[in-house]
Amino acid sequence: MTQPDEQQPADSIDPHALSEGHYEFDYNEPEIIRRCGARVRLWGMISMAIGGLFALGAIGVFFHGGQALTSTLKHSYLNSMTVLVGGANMLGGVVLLALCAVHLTSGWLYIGSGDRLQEVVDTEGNDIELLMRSLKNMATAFMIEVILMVVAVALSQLAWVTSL
Amino acid sequence: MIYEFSELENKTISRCASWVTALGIITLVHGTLKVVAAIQLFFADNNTVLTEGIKAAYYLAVGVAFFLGGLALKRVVDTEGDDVPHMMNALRSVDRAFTFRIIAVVVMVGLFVVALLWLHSVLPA
Repeated sequence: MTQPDEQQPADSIDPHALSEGHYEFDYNEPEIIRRCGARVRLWGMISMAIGGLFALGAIGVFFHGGQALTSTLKHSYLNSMTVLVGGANMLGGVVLLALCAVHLTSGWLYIGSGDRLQEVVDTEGNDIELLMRSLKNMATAFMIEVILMVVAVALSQLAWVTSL
Repeated sequence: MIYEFSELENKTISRCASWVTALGIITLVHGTLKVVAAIQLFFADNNTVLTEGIKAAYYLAVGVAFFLGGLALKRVVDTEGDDVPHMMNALRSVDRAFTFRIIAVVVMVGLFVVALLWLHSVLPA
């Protein structure tokens, strides 16, 4: 004989849930979480704005050859990349587009992560799940940044060595 | 109230800890390379030594903050009894790293605007 009061329907369990426990942050914890959320969110917006600038740069390269672009970005890792792929040509434009996609994606993930942290403070009953979702987004954004930085550091060192 | 993160939650925290630590390390490596570049420029009497020095300080500060954030997250997973304080320490460190980055962007945009205004005043119309 089934006892409906004691059983949970199978579809009430979220298969994508990242947490099992319940805890409400209090004392000074919400302030730390809110502050971190605001910073992460702001960085996400900046990252998306940088992505937008890369998109404009790519448009400049595709339609105007991008001569002014390489001289403006003389000492940046972006210039190292465009120089190594053959100057501000079509391939340079493709690199800029790739950087645009990377920054837009990581920016979007950071904004999502910051929003979840803000929700931890604003809502009740789901703090741990929201914190886990925030950390998951942050981890993916950090992974993208690590890959980008490894490539950027390697290329800038290669450009540095070849310029000696 | 003491809260212990479960095994499922520790998985997510551990993944994040690994990537924050990796980002901290690669940023520290970048900063160290900038220090080497600044030293080389100093002995070559190059006038970009100050720029390289500032970049080195920035990368080292961000790298340390991310690295400490990663260590605190790892402590959440590895230890028992102090998970929430360790998590708060991690969030504080991550917050600090992003604050450094945001300040750097604001300073860069400010310098860019000043440079544009200076060029506007120097160049003939």
